[in-house]
Amino acid sequence: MTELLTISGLSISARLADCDLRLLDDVDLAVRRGQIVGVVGESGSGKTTLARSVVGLLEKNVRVDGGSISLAGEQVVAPGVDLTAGVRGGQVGMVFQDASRSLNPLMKVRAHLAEVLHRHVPGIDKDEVRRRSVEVLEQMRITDTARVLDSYPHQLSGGLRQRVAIGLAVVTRPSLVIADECTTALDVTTQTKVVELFRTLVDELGIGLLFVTHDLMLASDLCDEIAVMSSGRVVEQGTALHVLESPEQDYTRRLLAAIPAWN
Amino acid sequence: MSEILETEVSADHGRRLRAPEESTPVLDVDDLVVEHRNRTTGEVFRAVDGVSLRIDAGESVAVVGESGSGKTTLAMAATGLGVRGSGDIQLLGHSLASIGRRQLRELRPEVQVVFQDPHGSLDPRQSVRSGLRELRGLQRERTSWIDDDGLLDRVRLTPDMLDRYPHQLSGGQAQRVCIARALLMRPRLIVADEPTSGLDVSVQADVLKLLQETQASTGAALLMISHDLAVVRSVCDSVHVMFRGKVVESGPCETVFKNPTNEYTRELLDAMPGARWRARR
Repeated sequence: MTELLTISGLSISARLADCDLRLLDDVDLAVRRGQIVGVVGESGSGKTTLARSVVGLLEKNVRVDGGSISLAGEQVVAPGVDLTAGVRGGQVGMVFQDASRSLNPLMKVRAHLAEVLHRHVPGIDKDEVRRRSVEVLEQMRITDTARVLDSYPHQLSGGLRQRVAIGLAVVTRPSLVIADECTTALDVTTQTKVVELFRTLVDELGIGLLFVTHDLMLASDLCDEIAVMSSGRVVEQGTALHVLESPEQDYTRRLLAAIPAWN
Repeated sequence: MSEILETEVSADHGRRLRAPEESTPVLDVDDLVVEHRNRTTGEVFRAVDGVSLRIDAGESVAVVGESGSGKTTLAMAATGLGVRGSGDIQLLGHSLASIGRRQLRELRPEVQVVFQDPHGSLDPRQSVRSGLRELRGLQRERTSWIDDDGLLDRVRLTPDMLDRYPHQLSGGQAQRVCIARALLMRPRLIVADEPTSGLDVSVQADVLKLLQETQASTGAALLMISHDLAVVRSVCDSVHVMFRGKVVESGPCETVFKNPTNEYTRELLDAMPGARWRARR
């Protein structure tokens, strides 16, 4: 299978007033088409930094020290290289944690979708925008598409808003989607539906998904592979069941032990 | 919050509180209804719809449900914290509907609340030490049983944390400070409203252990509000499942989680992440 995303030996640090702080340390990670890769870790482990580095959404004082990120074989990030602006929103879609804050409160869903399509699909006409807007909402398993298109973000429930945010990420037909804690703010039953939606999208569209979460259990349900991060490093990586059933690293074992027992 | 309540409470007759009897439940709520009225449209929303629950000393009871199910409103109304409802609420043997203002104030330290966001519940301009000093000033006798160092030790914080301000504490440390502040009052009831939702899983484990220890050492009752069934099962004896303001299922955790009889409880259990992993353990 072709590798969609290849991160190799990526090291990133932030320039602070008195020192440099290493945020990512020699990280290797790959996502293939039709695959869901989970990045799990606790706060400050570097999982969000890793996700954002792929789309070039890092703070200004952050610099790539070494390694590279390639999308479909083409290098987009390396020391002194940042070509992420060319892939962001088109080749790579991103879904954030809080859909109510990633949507513009003054714009209807219809306008959000139109904006993204006009920006990334050159020469697209009105009819096509309308057609693809409805199509993508249907892909999101939204039934009353007409109402949703004419709604402002605050008029939608949290789950529906997150579906719209995912729709915005995939409407340009990217090959890779990055989801950063995108179900954290949702109720468990809603979370289940969003997670199921992701699985279907990955299977139907053949995209790759990088799924960032602090929830190991959620990752174990959804992901094909899991990378466990701690202090900017990937400390353990493998198939989801392997990482959870026979963790090789002490850190992973401690993380698993901290999860409240169920039986 | 308390201000709103105090203005609504019936006239104070200056009576002192009688000491509750041993067998009196810490909290006994019967048929509680809480409604919110929309001031512009006049529409009435029933947030809590006929809920009854009882907690005895030393017992830990959970209320689970999704956002908007009414679990926080229930806890706040049941403990006389700002939200008023109809129905009979007996807190430590006193009917909230009939006790006076001074009596309610006397009752307050017996109920301590630990909220979800510890940074939101600590004063950003007060160090840990000065926050504790303020509490001690309010309740001199009650808080004289332990000094600051000893108190912090109980929640496994070192004395140097006393001089820190909330922003200098991690989420887990701040939540420990909140638990210490609750513990200082030696309450008869601890209400924990999603106390670990914002914390990392390893920190969550420590905080939950601490809550259990605090409860065991003081003999207090615990009312825990949570959406996390695994957390509830690891901490509480019994559970009430709320859905749209109503309790749809109640019972000991083991019974409810092993043999749920309600459709919604089953749905909640099915939605718990980690099914694949648990199935193989």
